[in-house]
Amino acid sequence: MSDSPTAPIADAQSADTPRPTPAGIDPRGPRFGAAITAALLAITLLLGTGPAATAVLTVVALLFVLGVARGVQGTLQGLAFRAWVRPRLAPPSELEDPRPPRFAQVVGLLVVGAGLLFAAVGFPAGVPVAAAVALVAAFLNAAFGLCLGCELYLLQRRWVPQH
Amino acid sequence: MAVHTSVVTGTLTSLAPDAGSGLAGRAALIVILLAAASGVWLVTARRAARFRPSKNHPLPGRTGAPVAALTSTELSHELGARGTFVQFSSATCATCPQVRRVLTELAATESGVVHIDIQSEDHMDLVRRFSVYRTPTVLLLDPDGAVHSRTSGPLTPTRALAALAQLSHQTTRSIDV
Repeated sequence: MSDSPTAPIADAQSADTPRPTPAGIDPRGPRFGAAITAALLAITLLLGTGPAATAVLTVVALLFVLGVARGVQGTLQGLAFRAWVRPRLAPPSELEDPRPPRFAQVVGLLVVGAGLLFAAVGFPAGVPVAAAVALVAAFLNAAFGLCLGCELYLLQRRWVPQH
Repeated sequence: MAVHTSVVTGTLTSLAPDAGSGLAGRAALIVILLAAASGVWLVTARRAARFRPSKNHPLPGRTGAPVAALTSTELSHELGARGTFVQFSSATCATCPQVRRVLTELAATESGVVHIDIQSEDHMDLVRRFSVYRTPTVLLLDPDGAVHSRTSGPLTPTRALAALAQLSHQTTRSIDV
């Protein structure tokens, strides 16, 4: 095992002196963005298979690309949230680390990208299946604040073979 | 969680032929999909929020194969005389700061209680040894370092205190016996 069991562990003091983290973001931003993503994915499902459904799913994929490249606060949904939604809300009670939702954007892009890839090589069902999987994740995020993509992070780390 | 997602997707594809290809059928599928996802999530979250007894604890009635207790050497920190909360955090964990606040506060106000925060990526050996699948996961150790109970997800001070009371009750009783 590469990870030695005697490696020093973050001690109790780490809670008092947290590691340097990027500036926090309003946690309602990613949830608002997820609601818009969920609506687009629902439209994709309603369109079934065909060029229209593929086009809407491609838009979702491009939104995920923005999220991966710039973080959720840099997506079109994030900009819309800051411009029109946040001014109408009370200040957030706490800020959130921007890295977990950004990781979830990577997961979303992989799912939607796989669906588009399947459609491109002759399996049109890839579009609704990918849209359904992504819709579940985006809906749970918008409705309950659950970041399903974030939950996959540790599982992925566990699967990485030890060297 | 991944398993749940695939179950939901499986339900969707098995329902697809019956629902037809019309707009109403597809809308009904979306509603069923989202209702199923919500149901699975609410049940999962409710179950995860409680401190569940570890079946690997050496207490009588716990049936699992014992897992070696954590030592203060491994943790680079003294164990609490009453109990130790070991929190597994990670870089992509949105709920971890909330749990950290609750447990730091608890460790500061309750005597004999220690809170240790572990960055999971750096300690995959412990992640595997204690079957941690998501962050935050919190293990409550007895004074000997054996895992008494565990929870995952958001944590309230009330639930953490209740788990601590349960632990104190059982360790006192097993000393009496």
